[in-house]
Amino acid sequence: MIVLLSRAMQHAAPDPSSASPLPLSGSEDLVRSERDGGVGVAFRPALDAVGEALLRHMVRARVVSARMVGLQRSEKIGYHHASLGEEAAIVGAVLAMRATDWIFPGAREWYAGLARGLPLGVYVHHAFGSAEDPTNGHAAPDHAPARALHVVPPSGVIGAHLPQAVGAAWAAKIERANVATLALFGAEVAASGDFHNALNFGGVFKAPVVFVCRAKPDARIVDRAVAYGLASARVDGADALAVFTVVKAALARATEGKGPTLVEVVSPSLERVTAGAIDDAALAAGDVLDLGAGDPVARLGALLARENRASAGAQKVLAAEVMAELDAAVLAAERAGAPAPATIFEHVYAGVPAHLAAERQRLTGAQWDGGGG
Amino acid sequence: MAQMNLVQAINDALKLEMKRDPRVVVLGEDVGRVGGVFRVTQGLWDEFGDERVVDTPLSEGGILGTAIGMALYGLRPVPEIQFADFIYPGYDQIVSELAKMRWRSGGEYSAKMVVRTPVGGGIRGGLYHSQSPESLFIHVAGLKVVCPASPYDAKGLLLAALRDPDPVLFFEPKRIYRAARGDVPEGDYTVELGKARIVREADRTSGEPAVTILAWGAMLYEAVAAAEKAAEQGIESEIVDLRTLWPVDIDTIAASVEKTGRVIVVHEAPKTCGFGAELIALINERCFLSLEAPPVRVAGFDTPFPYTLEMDYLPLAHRILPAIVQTAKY
Repeated sequence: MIVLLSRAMQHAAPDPSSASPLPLSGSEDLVRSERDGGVGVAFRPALDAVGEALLRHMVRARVVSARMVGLQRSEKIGYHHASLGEEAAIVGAVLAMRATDWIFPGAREWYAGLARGLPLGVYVHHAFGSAEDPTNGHAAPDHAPARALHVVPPSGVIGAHLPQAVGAAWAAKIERANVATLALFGAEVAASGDFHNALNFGGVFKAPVVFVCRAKPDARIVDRAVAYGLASARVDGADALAVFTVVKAALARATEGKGPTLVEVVSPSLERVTAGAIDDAALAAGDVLDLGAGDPVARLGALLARENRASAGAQKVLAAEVMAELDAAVLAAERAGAPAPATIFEHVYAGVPAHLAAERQRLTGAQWDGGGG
Repeated sequence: MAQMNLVQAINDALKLEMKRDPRVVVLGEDVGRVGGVFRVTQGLWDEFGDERVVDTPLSEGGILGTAIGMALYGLRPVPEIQFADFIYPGYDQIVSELAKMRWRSGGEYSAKMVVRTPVGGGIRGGLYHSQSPESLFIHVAGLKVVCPASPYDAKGLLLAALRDPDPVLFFEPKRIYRAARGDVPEGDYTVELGKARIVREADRTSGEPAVTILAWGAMLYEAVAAAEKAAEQGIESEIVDLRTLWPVDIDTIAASVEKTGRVIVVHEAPKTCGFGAELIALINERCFLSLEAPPVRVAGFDTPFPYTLEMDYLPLAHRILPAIVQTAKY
């Protein structure tokens, strides 16, 4: 086994959940699980129940996203941030964090809430902006909050959540709470001022935060970590076990007071996604569990099958169950209808100030009182 | 009762609330060891240490973005932006994040905080140390905007803002930071947000024309000076210090305008789309039939803020007085 450690990682403690030394490699080599036949920096992660949980969530994320793509195509919902092929990055990172850690997802990492336990029905109500949507139809699809699960609702502004993830982590540190935060984002965020602010403030204050960036192979976002004095790793985004293990190690660093880690997850390029080749029939049938070479769902499924921990048949059964759950959720969301008009004025402030009460009165059809403002 | 200036009153409020509530954290550029560029946070770092009084890197977006994260987590951050002119790099975090967090999460999350920043001109600061951007924040749903004029109000309003459940922009008129002095009670008290104060009442017993003047911050004192001059000419002025700019106390304003039938709004910010425009629209909606003269704005010009000619730019008493006279005689 070859394990290359970046300078920043040399003093990192072993991950208690893994028998292997840390598979963190700085920016030179791509971290892949050797169980999976990958090349690059090989390691052998603990497989126990983690692999099965990862696969279960990844299948669910895949099937839900495919259904949402279909609902967008048929204009039943405004839009959807498809995450097809990104499941290893998103599910691997979220499952690596503890339930008490906070998650700051971007819109494309909408599955973070579901991975934490947000009911699928609530997610679908939110996508429809129905009367049962926790945001009262205020926020567009894939921006659901889940405060009880420590999941912050994504912003529509790309990257705005990164400094917030640092602030929450910093607050936890000030409060002496054993809490870390996870910021999930795509490589486009690395161009933003918020990215710089987050890595800079995070590095200066050694905030317990893990940055996980999904990127194309040539992006090399990981190289930015050096400038901010952060630890870093670059991980194969088709390998959920590798993502899980690397983020666990980054979490360990965070909780040991060693500051943030920037993890770049290299997204697989899947034929059926990039060619837009998932047709309506395949979406409707949930035929989305293998989108071509490098598919993280198919890959983890095959690995678990080899180790006699899962069968391809079981994944199809699970996919069918999720489809059925989605059928019911979509029906419920359509039946719920739109929120009452007066809800526009809720939660602008903690209370309803006089000027909003007046506007609400006008919208809801009460007679105009002849007065203003 | 202690005599304090605005800086001392604000400092007193911060100190008091930091003692009372361990969740209150002050952060910003040089707010710690240095005590802030205007020394408003002086002594806090010595008393509360560098975890609660934090010197940050020079980036308003970073200060406000991380402060929002702290607030989400449950702290009560009080970020200081060194000059309101520098708030724009953090404007997105205020407008897109801070103001909308409660609404977009259906009330699950809120980012309760007070953003303190000095505003206004007259200190030879030039175009990047003199602006008054209040209307840019009043326009954003979800924010409250406060601007005290007296030390008593500065302390009481800041304590109220720090305990308010909503995000508050707390604009401190820097021209009168040390010039405005007054009695400030020791210990705890609050001045309710959303309530204006009648600073000078118009006596209508004579039946002579009177005007209502709406002002806030440093320009309140200019309005008072102009009103005194106008009184020498037999014109009564009723001056309303708005104190909280949003949500505005339209009831107090409307009652005064109904009493006088005439209104002048004074503000440092450029005239076009300044808060005066909204105030006059609200007055027209509320008390159009009480008006006996066109409402008037005495404001900054629609130009950037000049360095050399700042006293020509500001709507000082000598510019307010003719407006009072013309409005009274209309």
